[in-house]
Amino acid sequence: MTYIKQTNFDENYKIIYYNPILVSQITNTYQELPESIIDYIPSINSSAVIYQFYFYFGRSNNDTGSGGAEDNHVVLKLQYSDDNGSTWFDWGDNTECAIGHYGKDAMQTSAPSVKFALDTTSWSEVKKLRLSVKNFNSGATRLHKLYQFADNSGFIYNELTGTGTAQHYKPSVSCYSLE
Amino acid sequence: MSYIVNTLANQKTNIAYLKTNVSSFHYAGPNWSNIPGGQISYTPTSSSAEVILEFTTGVGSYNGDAWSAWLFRLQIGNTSETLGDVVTNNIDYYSSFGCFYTGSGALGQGKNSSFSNVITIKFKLAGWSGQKVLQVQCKKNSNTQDYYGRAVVNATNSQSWPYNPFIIVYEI
Repeated sequence: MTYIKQTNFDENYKIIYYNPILVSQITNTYQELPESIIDYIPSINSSAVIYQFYFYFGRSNNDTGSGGAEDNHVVLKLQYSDDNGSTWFDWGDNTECAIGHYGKDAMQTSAPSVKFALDTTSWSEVKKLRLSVKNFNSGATRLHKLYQFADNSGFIYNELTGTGTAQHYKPSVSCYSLE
Repeated sequence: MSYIVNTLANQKTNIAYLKTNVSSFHYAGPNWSNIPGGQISYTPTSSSAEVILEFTTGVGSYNGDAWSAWLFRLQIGNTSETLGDVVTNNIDYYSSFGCFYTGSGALGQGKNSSFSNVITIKFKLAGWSGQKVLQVQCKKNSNTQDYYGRAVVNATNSQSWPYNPFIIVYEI
């Protein structure tokens, strides 16, 4: 009997759900996203690493909607550390992006993901990866905590009136290697 | 003799990967166009294989001031010069993304919007024999009034943040 082994390559898939969730109120300067941190080393002979972060974003009580203008628009950038988080550097290679929406009389709430393909050249030791985040303009976006939601019976949770039990979306960060 | 599989790692086989470094956005115009970095050549292991294509890129508003909506489609051919539909009428090989402004009036009247995201489009194809070229294309999803549909790809805003698109093709 013959068995054919198609590949010896290990994707080395790693995913982290952090608990407790640290609700992040976004400001106009870059700040660390704690739930986006992951330690990773690429598999041998990998051509790339796919870094992915799933999260929730939406408005907060600080969002006054002045003039009907709503701003739930953030900018994120990938950073790395080779010394277990003591010092951080931008990854570069176009790993800075915007997510969200700005508009009049419109708010966006969403659970998007940020995904980057990372080159593995000279990456043979563990790196710590993270995202930093800031406002696109000067909005009041908040991560991981829902503002309000309702069903046919009314609000299950309404932060504006303080009714109900707060709900969160648990973010996750993952990495895997590509052959 | 029994074999116990403890993990389901490496479910993807025959993987092809391509990342493209870009320095600027690609404008999604009124007609279908090839997205830079949206093309890859692939040879399945057999015509009965099930092939998955994942294309990831950034999308955003042009000049940060317009409602933005995109159409995407997948094309296939023996060469990049002979691209055509994946199946008859390319049914189920389209996707759409973004948001529309359904009111009236031009920009600059408080009706504008700026939109950004990173998206992954995923298609499943039946296998084929030999090498073929796969190409993701885009166009704006709007009417003839340009300011209702100005949109870019390979960046999350036309002024900043170019995004390096990448394709992963594999069999399951």
